[in-house]
Amino acid sequence: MSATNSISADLAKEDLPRIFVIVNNLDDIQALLRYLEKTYYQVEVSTKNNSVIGKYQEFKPDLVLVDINSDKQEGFDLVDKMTFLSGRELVPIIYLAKEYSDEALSECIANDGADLLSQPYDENILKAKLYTYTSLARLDRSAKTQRQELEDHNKQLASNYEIAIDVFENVIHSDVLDSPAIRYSISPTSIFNGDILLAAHRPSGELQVMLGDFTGHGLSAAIGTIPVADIFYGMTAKGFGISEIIVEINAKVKKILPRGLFLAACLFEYDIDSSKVSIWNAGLPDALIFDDQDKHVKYQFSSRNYPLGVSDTVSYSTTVENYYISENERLLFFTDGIIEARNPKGKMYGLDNVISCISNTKVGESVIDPLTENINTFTQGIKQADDTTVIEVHFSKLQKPDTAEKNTNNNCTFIFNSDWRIDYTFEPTILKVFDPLPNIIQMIMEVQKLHCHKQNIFIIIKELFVNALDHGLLGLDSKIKNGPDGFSNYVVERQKRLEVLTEGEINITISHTGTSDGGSLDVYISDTGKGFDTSIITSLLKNHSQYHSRGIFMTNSICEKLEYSDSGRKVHAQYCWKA
Amino acid sequence: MNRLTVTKSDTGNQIIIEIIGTFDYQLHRDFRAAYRDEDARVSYIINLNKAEYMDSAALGMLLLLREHAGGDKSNIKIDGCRPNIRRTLEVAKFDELFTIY
Repeated sequence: MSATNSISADLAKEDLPRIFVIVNNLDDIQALLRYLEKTYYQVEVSTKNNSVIGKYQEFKPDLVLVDINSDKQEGFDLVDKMTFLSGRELVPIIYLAKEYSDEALSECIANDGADLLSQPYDENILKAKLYTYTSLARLDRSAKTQRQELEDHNKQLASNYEIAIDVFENVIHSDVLDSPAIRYSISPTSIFNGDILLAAHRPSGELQVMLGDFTGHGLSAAIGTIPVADIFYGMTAKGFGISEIIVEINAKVKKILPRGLFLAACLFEYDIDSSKVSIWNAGLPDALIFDDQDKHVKYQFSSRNYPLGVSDTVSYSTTVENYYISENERLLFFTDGIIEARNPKGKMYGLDNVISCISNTKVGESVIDPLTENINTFTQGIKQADDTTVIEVHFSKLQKPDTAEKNTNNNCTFIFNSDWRIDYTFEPTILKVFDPLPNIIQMIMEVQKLHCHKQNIFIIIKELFVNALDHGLLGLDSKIKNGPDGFSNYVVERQKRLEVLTEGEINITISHTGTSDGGSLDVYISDTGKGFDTSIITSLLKNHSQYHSRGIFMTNSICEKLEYSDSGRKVHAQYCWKA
Repeated sequence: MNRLTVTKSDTGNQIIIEIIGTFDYQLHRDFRAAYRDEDARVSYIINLNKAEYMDSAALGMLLLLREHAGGDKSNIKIDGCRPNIRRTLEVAKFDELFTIY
């Protein structure tokens, strides 16, 4: 087949280029049709009847040949319709005429034609032109398809990016950062480069802030952000301090991040009542305490720890540093993008420049803007490898959140009008291996959010439970505790008896009755022991010994009601709280 | 997890005991070990910054330490209490026996 081209070998029959031929009379173009039969093209021939446009739309040709031998205008009109239908798609038109002339060609081109062929057809010219124009149409189509795909892809990317920023904002941004006491600078894109800035108050009011910088950039750095923010906010809301949070985040980061990826972080907690700030720095530049009046740096909290995610264990217990904030003192900390900002000569900005920038800032003004300007001047517009995030805390402007627990007035985020009841029974097999109290307390906290009553509720349940176990089931006498070694002896004896305990049980029932402004938590604990003479309780409460009975005294002090019954085997304690 | 850490100053005159988690009889052995071989001149700081709960056994343990450290002459500071725990210490009148920060 003379007209066969290399294209044909790669394509299935239905994918071969399509040529639509429109004629007045089939006899006029017999020679052309005979030629086309020898080629690999898919060919559809139609006379100029009413259905020709329908056929054109159905066939979707790559090239159209239009015979204009007898009625030129009819041909031009048809082409006009077809061109309109094709829209932006390129479908070349070749007009077929008996004779060739420059005028005829101009007219054809003026009527959307690409070319004009005249009889007799030269097979080589036909072959070249059919190949060129069908290829052109295909090329145009694939270019447009690719451009469309690219556009769709870009749109998708942009919309994903916006969604991602929204998600990050929702997860990460906290209203606490909007406090007038806190100034910070973090660019939305830096989130994708692994910078993270979190701030929240514990239920008891302490401010906790975390600044982190994942090693690496882009997605790999961003994946850790959401779980880290979840842990930070979740645990802070439950009242955990930074030391506990560090341990959890370390374990999480170690688990989810690929090897070689870490989280450098600086966390601090601040207790407004005692003005104490506790800082833990792992791999970030020195956090600076400076005096806003004389602009001197008073203290530098250097990194003393591995970044999070490096080791299974974090040595946090000895490395949280405490500092008591004086009036006018502020805290500034930042990611290493600040001190590693480079000028055109490759020199780094460095901590000294940060310190001198602080000393040049006006009294009462935030350091952040001057610092950013100073760095921009230093780098002279050179694109930096790392994003920078910086936060400044003006402790004097810091206020305890309204919801925070206060020393005199218990004021948490309470849940009102909530009634519930839980009931547990424990037998020796369980009592030997499991301390149920942490879970019970945690459950009460989850359900009723009485965080600022946590210690009181703990004391009540713990003391009554321990009494039921120690004195009820184990039959221990508190007098063993007398004397300097008494407590040790007691603990040893208790363990001995617990190990051989086979009978008895302890029941704990806790019910809560809510009101519109508080509630009452009723704790009922009963044991199957021998009981005791409850008349001694009154005297114990009056003068408890140095070595024992303090628990019952404590419980009685914080409870509304403390009643023993069933010869001391049952006790009911009522704890009332008010908003 | 509930535990404690003990840090001794270079001169050996001061011992910092930090309680983490629940302060109750389960820490008794470790708590006692932190001071039992020290003489009465040593001063102590009990850091409760990371203590979540404490019960009456913990109060008893503090009193035993106080006795060991010289009773009324002892020098024991309780530092970093959360408001919750501070209230418990106040209810027990421990603010009269210890210096509470």
